[in-house]
Amino acid sequence: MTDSGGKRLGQALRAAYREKEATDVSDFWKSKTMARIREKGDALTHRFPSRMDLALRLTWRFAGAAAAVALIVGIFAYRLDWNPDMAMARLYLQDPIEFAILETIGIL
Amino acid sequence: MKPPQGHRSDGEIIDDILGGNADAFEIILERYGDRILRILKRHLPVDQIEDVAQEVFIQAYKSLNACRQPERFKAWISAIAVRTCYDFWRKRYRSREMTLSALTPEQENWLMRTMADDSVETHEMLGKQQEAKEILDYALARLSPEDRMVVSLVYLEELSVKEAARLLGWSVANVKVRSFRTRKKLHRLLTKQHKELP
Repeated sequence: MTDSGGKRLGQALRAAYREKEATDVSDFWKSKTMARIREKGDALTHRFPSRMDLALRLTWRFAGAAAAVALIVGIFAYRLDWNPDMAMARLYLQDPIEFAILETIGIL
Repeated sequence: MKPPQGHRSDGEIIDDILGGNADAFEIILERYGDRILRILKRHLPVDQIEDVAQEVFIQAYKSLNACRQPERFKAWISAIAVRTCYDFWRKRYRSREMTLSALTPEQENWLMRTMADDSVETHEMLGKQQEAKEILDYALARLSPEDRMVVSLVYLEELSVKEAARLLGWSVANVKVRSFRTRKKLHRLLTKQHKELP
């Protein structure tokens, strides 16, 4: 095959490719598309979620995990019989001077 | 240039749709329907065009909130169309629905006439003949979906490698390498010689 033959083949194939555009297609697909879109309705509401929406989404995403952790800590504390008032009293009885100093400077 | 009075920009229409007015999508459909059909007609079998056109616009509607540059909506929806065509061929190849038949004597004759130096027919005349379309389909059916898309965009549509890469969402290097290899493959398929098509 010569170069000009190859060139003509390429051009003829491109012409055949462009010819494909001449195919007739009815506009019925457009009404079908709109019907499907109306079925979906206004599923899209916001272009970009606001910061408040993002914060709320984040909060709710971790709400379950936070509740579970709080429950586990609560059960653990209950089983240890841990009571903050009792613990404070115990600290005071163990070392009343240090406790008084810490309380005065605001650490306790 | 300022749009004519009453002409709403793509950005305004998209805002309207995202605000809950799904009917406004009809304007998009009317504005870009023909352009998308032209893309699909080049890439797909005739009996698939309408179904795929619906898919393209449904896909565009569903991902409208991801269109961050409404002023480039035309390029955005064109890329969706090209990628939907690629998906179509991938599915078709996977389901082995491709039928590969040999060239008929008429098609071989067309090839001979086209490549003959003393041919009196112009390439436009040759391209309009039924055999030209059949030979094009014959060659494209023997390429992988990736090669098919690249050869269609770069060789047949004569788009730049960069533009083809943008439409397909691939790297420029990938398209460049595929384009080079596929041209040779296409050439071998049609001529059984080892010369590059111009």
